[in-house]
Amino acid sequence: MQPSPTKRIWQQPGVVLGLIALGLLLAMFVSAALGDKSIPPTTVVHALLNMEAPDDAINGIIVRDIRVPRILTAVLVGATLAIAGAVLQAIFRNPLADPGLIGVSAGGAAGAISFIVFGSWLIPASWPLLHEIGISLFPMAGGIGVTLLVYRLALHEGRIHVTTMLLIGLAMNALVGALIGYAVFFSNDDQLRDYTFWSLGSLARANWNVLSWLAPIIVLLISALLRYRRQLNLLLLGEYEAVHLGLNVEKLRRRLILFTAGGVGLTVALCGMIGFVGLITPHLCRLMLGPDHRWLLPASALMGATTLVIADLLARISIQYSELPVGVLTATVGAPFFLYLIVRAKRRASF
Amino acid sequence: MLRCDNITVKRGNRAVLRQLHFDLQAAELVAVIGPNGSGKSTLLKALTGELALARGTVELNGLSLATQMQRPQDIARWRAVLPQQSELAFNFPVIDVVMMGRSPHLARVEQARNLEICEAALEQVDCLALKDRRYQHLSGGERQRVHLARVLAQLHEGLHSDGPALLFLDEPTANLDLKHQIQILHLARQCADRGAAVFLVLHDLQQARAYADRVLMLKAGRSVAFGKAASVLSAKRIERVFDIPVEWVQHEADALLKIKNPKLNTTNTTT
Repeated sequence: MQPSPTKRIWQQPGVVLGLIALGLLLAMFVSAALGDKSIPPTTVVHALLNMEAPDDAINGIIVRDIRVPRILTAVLVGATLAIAGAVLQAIFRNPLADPGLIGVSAGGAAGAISFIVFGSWLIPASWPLLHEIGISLFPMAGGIGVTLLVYRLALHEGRIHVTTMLLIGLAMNALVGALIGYAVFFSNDDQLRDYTFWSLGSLARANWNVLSWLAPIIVLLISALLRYRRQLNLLLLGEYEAVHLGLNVEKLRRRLILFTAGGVGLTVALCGMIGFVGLITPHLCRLMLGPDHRWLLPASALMGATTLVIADLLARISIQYSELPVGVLTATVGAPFFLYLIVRAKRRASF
Repeated sequence: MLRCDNITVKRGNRAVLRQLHFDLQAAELVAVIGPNGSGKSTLLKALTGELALARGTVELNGLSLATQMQRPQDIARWRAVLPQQSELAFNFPVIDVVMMGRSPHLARVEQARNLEICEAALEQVDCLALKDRRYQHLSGGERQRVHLARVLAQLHEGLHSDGPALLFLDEPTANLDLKHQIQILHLARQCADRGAAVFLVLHDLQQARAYADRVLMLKAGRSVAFGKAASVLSAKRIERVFDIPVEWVQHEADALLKIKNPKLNTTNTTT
């Protein structure tokens, strides 16, 4: 578990983490400069330093009030999805677990949509704060509920049944599809766009307001998850093996599920379902750093943030004066990657 | 060290262990034997808290198992379990897997010392050369030995001082070639000689007789006999429980189990 002296410098975990962090900063900077309106790097720097740009005040506003909050949201959401993926993969002891695939995100979306449909009947419109709270709490509850359900159903005598795990995800995604179908059927054209938002994901709703309450919650969740780095390694040995090594597995799992599914639910409330970030990024990090969670968790968080910042940038610049839903992009890359993982697992005759 | 009173274990509605009594002392190796499906592994799972008891009690050091299990971090310092098969879906270096055995002690023992203990444990199971290899690149037998090293590392304090140590091994020889079977049984014996209580599920009757102090023989979830290895493993009882005619042949200091030609006895197998 110690960095052995034979490792080259670029294989040292600290160095790898530093490089990913550097990549993230670079991606954030490029993302702040590019968009429908390209902004010169010097202006971006001026705007970030909160100085009036010499050439163009509008550019400063675009950077400060539109792009920066959006980029920061991408960082937080990407980090949450990736770290949630890494943690779920440890809980389920399977590298195929992903918040999207096993239905956690779908549970979140189901929570959000149910609240939109029923909440408007139950809560008077004169209480907007209650709506705000409900729209964040329901997705969190939905995410946690689905994760508990998947775990209960997939666990048999201390072993996780992988097929069950994935099939429940399938069922949950179908259920959300149906829910969205109902909602779409009873809505007008404007709302229609709103509902596709849930299934395809987008960061377009980001602003400083949202960020001000999202940031502290997510930072808390991620730092809470990081505290369990060592325990997650033991969990990989198996349910009972971890108990025999002194872990209170029941308690640990409850907390992990609460934090990961809650975090994912929150991101769904904000940006809809953005798939595959939680699948791909922990996998890439494992290739670079190995499976030790003490490095894997922070690396996944950084890598997930980088991935989503880049994906969001591509979503913004690929079509002029409009944007792709970012979930479309992550799925385009993620789904073939998922297939690759399955084929590889099949060749090894095990998941 | 461990005593169990009148325990019954059910899977679904079916009782797979009935009214079992037995005990395990410090510095003793008890082997559990019995035909397939007789409940050996179930018993081990019940004694380690993996399966709930339908009736009866299991006591560890005078306290009930259920009470002890509420503080798994304490019990893990002196009790270790080697399951029949450990899976690890992620590719850790071997030394990291063994290091997991030290996790109950991490707060008290410094890192360099833990690493020493793990390397010594790998040495004991003949795997020190594999230290930096990846777990998933190992053969089944090597994996099993690495997990044994993990368990030995976990019990290091108990095995090298006067502290208690309790070791459960579920068919540890199952995937191993002959040399490593003997090596593991030697290690288990050594643990008992150093003061540990060792509970061992075994298939090989001859090995049980050679290495165990006492033997518990199970059939269909019931205890057939429990006592000194040589007396429990009488040829007559083996014939009755395992349904195959055998005799013990003395060769110098060792007792060898000889299977009588079953063809001669097909008409009259039970006596």
